[in-house]
Amino acid sequence: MANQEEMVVIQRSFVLNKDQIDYLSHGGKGTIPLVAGQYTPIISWKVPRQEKLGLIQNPRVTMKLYDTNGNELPGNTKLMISIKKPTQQLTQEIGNYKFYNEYQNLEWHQQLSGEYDNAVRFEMNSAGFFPEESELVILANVPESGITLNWDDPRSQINIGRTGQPDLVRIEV
Amino acid sequence: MKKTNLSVDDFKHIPGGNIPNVYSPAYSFVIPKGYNYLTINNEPARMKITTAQRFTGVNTSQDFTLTPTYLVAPFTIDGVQKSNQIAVAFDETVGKVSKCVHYDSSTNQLVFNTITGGGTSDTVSVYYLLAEGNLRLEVEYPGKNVLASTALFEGSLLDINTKNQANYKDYLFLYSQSLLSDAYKLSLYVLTRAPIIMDSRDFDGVPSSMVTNVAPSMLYLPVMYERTDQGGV
Repeated sequence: MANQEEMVVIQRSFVLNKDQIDYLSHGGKGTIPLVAGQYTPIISWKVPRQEKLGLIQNPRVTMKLYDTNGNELPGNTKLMISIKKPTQQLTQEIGNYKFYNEYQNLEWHQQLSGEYDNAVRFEMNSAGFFPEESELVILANVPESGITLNWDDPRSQINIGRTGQPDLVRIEV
Repeated sequence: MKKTNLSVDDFKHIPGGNIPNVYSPAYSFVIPKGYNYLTINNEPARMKITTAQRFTGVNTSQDFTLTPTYLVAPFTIDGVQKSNQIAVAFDETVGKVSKCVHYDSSTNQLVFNTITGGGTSDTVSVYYLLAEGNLRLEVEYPGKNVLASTALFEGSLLDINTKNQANYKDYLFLYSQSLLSDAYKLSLYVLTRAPIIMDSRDFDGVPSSMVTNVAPSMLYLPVMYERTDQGGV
């Protein structure tokens, strides 16, 4: 018989995207003006209480981002995954930036296929956890001014992690 | 226990079940009385989730192009777009089907070939792979609310519908085995703004000329089943 005091941990593969509205904290809908030469948060998800998210060191992230003019973001836009813990005011860098270029060149079916697996991976310092109440933030740094990201364009989508695979896991305690 | 699989035919549509932008059930399979089912997690499942939309005044006597409201998943195998598995148009006026011949992802347009006997202003319902929102396969216990921890599978519809699920790198496995008995439900929960229509006959207002499921949907969930001692009436 199970011990009543035993801690039950359930781990599931998970995907964060703009439709995870229970997690969404910033962005994912409406428009976001981007500042040239500066990292601007474009979307963030807050980890609920009693939950933790675990990210592998090289998670697969797939995306297509369109601006209000219907164009994709420039290829030399820098993208970064960051963490903002409940005690922090600003986001903390946890990995290397990546250019949007690859996402511009690869169509959805290519980004989601095993063939281009490495092209869509982000390079993080290490595998790690996002504890409860912390935020996983995606920042974008565009090279030119006057670009406004349009989340309401149904083509603008981002997926952190891969369906059915442990790039991102949700851990319930 | 014997091996079988669950398909779209086993799942019942829940009318009004999937509420836009709320995790809600679209399809359910209720375990029959006197049976136990065991979901399998070491054999890949297959899923293709579809939505439906009706267009009026379409000229189907020539090749026609339709722009659906929701984003279409560009299902592709080895770089070749499988258009005929992406969308199917059903001319409700003449009761005939035309499969999609091209999907343009930049404009979200579906191109179909002429329908034999089609008119210049026909009503056409289109069933296509959806690329917006998330899916969760949940186990529901009788008399209880759904617990998040009972999801057997969760993921993005874009991802599920676009990739080649026959490729071993992209297999979809359920997370765990789960034993389901009498009156337990296995439900497809979705969070999307589109209506989920896996069987074209579940779409509101389809004519009686639609006798088979024309939607390019698919569900293949490997399971084991057995009859229990108390089994059956």
